[in-house]
Amino acid sequence: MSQTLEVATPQVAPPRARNRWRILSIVFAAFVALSAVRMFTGQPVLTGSGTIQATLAFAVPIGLAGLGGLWAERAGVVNIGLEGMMVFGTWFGAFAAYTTGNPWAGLVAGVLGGVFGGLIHAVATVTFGVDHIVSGVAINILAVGAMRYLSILYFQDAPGGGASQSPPLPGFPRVGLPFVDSLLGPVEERQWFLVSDLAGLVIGLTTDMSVVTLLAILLVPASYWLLWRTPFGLRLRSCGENPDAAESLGVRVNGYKYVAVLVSGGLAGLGGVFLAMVASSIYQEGQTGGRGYIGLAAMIFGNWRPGGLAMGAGLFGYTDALQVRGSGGAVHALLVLIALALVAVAVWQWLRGRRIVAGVSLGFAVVLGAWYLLTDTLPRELVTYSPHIATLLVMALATQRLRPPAAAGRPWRRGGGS
Amino acid sequence: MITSTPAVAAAVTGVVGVAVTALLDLGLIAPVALAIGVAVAAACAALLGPRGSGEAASPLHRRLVPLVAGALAILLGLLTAVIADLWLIEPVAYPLGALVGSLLGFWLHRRLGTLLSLAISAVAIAGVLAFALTALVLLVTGVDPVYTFGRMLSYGSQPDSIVTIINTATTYYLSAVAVAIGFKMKLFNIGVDGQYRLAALLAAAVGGAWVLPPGLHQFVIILVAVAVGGFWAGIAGYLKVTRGVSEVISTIMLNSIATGITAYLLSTDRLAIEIGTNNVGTPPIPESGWIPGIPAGFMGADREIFGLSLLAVAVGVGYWLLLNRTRFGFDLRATGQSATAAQASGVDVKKMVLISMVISGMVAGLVGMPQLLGDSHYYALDFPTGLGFTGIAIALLGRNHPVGIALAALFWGFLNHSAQILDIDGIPKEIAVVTQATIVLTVVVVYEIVHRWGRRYEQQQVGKELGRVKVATS
Amino acid sequence: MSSTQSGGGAAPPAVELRGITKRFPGVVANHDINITVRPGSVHAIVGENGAGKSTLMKTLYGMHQPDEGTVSVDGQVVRLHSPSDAIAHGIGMVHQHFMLADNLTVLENVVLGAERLHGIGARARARVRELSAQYGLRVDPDRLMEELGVGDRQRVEILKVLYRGARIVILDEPTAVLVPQEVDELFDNLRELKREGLTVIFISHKLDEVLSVADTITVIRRGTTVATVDPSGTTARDLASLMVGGELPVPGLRESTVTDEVVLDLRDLRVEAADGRPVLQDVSLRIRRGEIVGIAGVEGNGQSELIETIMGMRPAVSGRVELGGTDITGWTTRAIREAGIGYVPEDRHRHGVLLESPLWENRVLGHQTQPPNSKGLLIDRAGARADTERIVAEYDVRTPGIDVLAGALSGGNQQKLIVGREMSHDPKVLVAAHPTRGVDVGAQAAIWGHLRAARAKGLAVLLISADLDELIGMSDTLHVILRGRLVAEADPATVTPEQLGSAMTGAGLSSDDEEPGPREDEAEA
Repeated sequence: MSQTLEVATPQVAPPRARNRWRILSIVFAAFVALSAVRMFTGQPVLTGSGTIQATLAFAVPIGLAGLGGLWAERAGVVNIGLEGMMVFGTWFGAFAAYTTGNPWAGLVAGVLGGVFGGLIHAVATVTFGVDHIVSGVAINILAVGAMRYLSILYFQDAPGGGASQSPPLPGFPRVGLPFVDSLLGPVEERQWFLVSDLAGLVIGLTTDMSVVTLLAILLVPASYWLLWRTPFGLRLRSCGENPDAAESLGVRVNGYKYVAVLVSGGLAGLGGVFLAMVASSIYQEGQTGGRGYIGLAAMIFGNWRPGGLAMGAGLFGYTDALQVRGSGGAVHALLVLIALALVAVAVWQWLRGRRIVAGVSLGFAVVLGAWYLLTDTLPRELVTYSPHIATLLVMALATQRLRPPAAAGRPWRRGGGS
Repeated sequence: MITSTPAVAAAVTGVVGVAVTALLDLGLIAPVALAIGVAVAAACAALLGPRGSGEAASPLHRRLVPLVAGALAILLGLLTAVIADLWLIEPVAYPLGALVGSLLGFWLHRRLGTLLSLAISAVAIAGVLAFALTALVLLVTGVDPVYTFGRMLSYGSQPDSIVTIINTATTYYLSAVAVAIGFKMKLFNIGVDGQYRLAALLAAAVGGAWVLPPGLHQFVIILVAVAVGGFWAGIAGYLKVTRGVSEVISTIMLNSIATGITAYLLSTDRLAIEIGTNNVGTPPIPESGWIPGIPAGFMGADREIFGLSLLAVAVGVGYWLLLNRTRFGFDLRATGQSATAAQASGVDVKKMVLISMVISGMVAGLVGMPQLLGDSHYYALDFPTGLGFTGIAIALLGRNHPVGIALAALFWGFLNHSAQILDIDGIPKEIAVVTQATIVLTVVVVYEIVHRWGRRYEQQQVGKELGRVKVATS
Repeated sequence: MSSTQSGGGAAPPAVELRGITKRFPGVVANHDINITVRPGSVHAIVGENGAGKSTLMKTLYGMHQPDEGTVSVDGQVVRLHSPSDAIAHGIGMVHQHFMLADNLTVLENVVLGAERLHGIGARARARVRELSAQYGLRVDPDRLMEELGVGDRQRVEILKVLYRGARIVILDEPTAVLVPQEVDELFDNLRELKREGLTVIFISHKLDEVLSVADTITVIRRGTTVATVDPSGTTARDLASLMVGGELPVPGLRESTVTDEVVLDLRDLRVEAADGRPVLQDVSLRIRRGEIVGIAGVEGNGQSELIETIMGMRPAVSGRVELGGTDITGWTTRAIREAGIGYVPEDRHRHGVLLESPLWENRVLGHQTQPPNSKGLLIDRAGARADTERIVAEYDVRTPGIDVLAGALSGGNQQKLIVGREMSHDPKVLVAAHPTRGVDVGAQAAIWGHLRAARAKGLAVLLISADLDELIGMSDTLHVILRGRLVAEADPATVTPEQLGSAMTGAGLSSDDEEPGPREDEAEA
């Protein structure tokens, strides 16, 4: 496991209910601020229904990878191999969908491909006690190599296929609520403060959605319920907190770890299926583009909880969506939002007596504000990687407040406890 | 057991190896003769060499070390002979190989520890498994594995191929050492990829922009690369020690950001110029900044070995010395084993994390240099990418040992290069990637099993030893 | 004394072990163990560290299977393949190291693995409350585990066992982490269990406690049962001779060697946790040449922080640490070690040794910059190896060689190596935390001997221990630490463990009304 350095002991979390309200109010405040920034900068893309839909499309694979990470780490296994498992998902999903012509066969095969990756990881880390990161990295290397070989065998000679891509694949059905668009569409176009933004949000979330997207969204509360509300979940989480204790109470720790890692792989595989068959309609080499890693970042961002990781995935998806739909201009407008947020942080820290942090935040706010005023757009190359920069910043600011499962990443063996 | 001074024993071993090989060479084909010769010599070494350390007492050590030493000796002897054969006549080359193999066998037999032997066996087992799996994949897809491996071996051992393999291995080696420095600290520098690309780009830009006297020019370019690599890795180290950010995630993010920055800088508006069609790159480095290759005509090759392959050797030696002979290396290994124990012993763990991350990044900065200064002389869109991840794989395969990494890098380069010939036969050359991927995965699993077994064995030995004094402990 | 005792009356024995033998690679941990436990009794199993008690309990709890012999529960021979089997047969276990997940609530910790009984929701919560009231355990099901103290945690452990309906409760060294008052409470809880008809198996090496609570005592020595006795007809001295085949080593000092020269001087130290909460306040302490100063306290009251502050591993917010008149506050750990403070850490596996390194490298650890370990920036392998051989010989470290990995040695031998290494650099001050924890009596006596010898030569020692007998016997001066403050000073010549215990829990030292008596621990071990 990677070297752990205790920089600070985590603070005792406030009661959950209070926490929930605080998060909800912050989300609401952020939305209001976003709406204000839209008015101020004249960038309707910021909250348009199209942006929301694009956000979903970008967030789903990240969120699925993050959920995969959540399952594995809650059972104490760090899964850096999510990226490779997604690759398995993209290829096997594409292969099955192409050969059968049925997208659902593709979905099943893609998930099984991910499960296969998870099985390798579980055998290596759980049964043989290999370092989790090492095994994960090896799986990522394996996935790329093996899929390249299989593509050459099976896709190269297929019509429309090639050494690094599959032939066109069948799509999934799309669902949506009727009338919402026609009812709220005009409202959205009026550009009213908050009202139009809400309309955009509602349209985006209710119209023309792939069933896989819907499935992915439902998997978040499902995971929460399974992991926090059932005996199964309690046992699984206990393996990530204190496996020796779990073992001493008759919990079959390795069994639960296996289940968790297999589910983790399956979720990553589903993310892969989404990338190949929903976000696009062919398999391409390198299609995952590091989303497995971003998923892990989203999970860390969400403090190893499903709701939090969904928010994290949403945030990353949103930056991606803005950059694709509004190019540099929309992200440029976001500078104002970040500057505003920094001002808020500065005020908050000042009130708490942390003058230096407040000053630094304010300084950055001024720099960002100036950057906004002095430029018209951001360089495309940098915008592409804004989620990565955001991840780095968020982790730098928030890591110390996070509460990872206590035994995550530690190789564990039966009978190790006293 | 005959006791004798090491020098005499070594000489006897060498003479036996050479004599047996030369004799058998008259009747058998040369490689077989060499194998038998070195094996006989290794057997002699086993009889002659009483070991200094107390480890020799254990039966595991007695059984394992002669086997491992013998096998390694034959392998290295063959390698020497094959290369020597390229510019010497066979009756000279093979006895020479036998001499090298025999002496190495003698030395290894005296110096190999039990744990290192276990590690070597683990890698060997993993290698066999990986090749078996590759053969299986080939069989399933209807290709004759023996033919395939034979083609690869014959193509890979041609003089020009050997030069290419050494050149790619040089790059791989630097990358793997960079990763290994982190691994020794249980730090995962997944970001070597970004570090070397950013370093190579900026170094190329500086080298292309300035004209300096030869010597100084190269020095400045390499200095820039080392500084940039160290800085970029240092960000991850800094975030880890001050903010507690896992270096795994931060280096992955920094890789992507480095990709963004290189894409941004590598445009004709900024650092780059048009190079050929559809390619932009930094202005070429003038000749004063090149590093000449080592002509390989002596082995019949037209190509040249990168001059900087010597730098890789130096880095390897430095890595070994640093780790095993210096206080800093001791602190580093101690921190890797147990950060808490290291801290209690007086190591400033945070400083250690930062320093080793920076050193890892500095070595990563060197990764692009052989290619840049020895071949392309500019950084363009087609500059090799992904070397950082290859480095991780090779460091895992070489078990972070400087010699192990070197062999793993050569092996990797061999697979990559020799597979090129397969396309001509209509066999997908990506089969090499399958071998590489499986060997990395199997090696980590097999190593873990063997290592665990070795530790239990050690405990058992100690228990037995002390059992004479004390009946029971729990 | 018979080696076993048949179950009384018609009721079959609650637990019967017959000829249990358990081998580990290279060692025989248990050999021909025979124990019969009457139902409804408290049966103690005593033996020194390393005698094989824990191995035996793991066998009984299904954590591993015996190589030979049978286990019977309520007259039936059973095969226990896992803890679940043991639980199914009504056996519950309270482990020495608590098996609790900090990040889960008390309720979650209790119901884990037994969700079938009452679910994980309201019914389970009600049952926990009910049991808590019935046995007087005072446990709140909705607290987060990490907020609880040691005593509370132990009660949660007992509750876990009761929740599963266990009829046989095994407690492995339950008093090791408790102060005497908490021990009394625990014993009240145990008597309560007995009244409810439960059988208690109590493992310990503290003879006084065993004599006060047990109905029957079985002694284990070198992995086998040597006797089963009735506490009413035996004394601690008899038990000790059964346990170690001779007398137990007694901690004690000869005449005072305390001088006037202050070597380590702590002044008004204040140390804070990351969240700004003070973990040490107003700590002032002086240790003179030839003096051993003991610190008594319930674990978690600032002892670790005190050590870490002295060793430079934790910054002080205010106050000073002076070594021989030099202010060493804020120095690095390395500089402090070089200046002459030796360190025997409390958790040797975390702080004392590199388990996967050979002994000679472990000899270098902590003194990387000093001869004979290094020359300039290089490690002096030859010097370090030679000196390791010396330590192994002088400190009686039982090992086949210095290339053996430290993890292959027993705890006692690792500890002897650590003590030897720290003593080898002529320290002015030795910070010794739990120097004899988890080591066998031989090593214990040896370590005490080394401390005495070094004290005679003028070493100043800060001794921290959970073993009050060791503290009282080995200290020239005793301080009590409570919630990060030194709250009382006691004279080891007169203070009793009970008085110390009450001071440790904040009840204050009732030293006024105690009668001055002769020092009881004058005897040499």
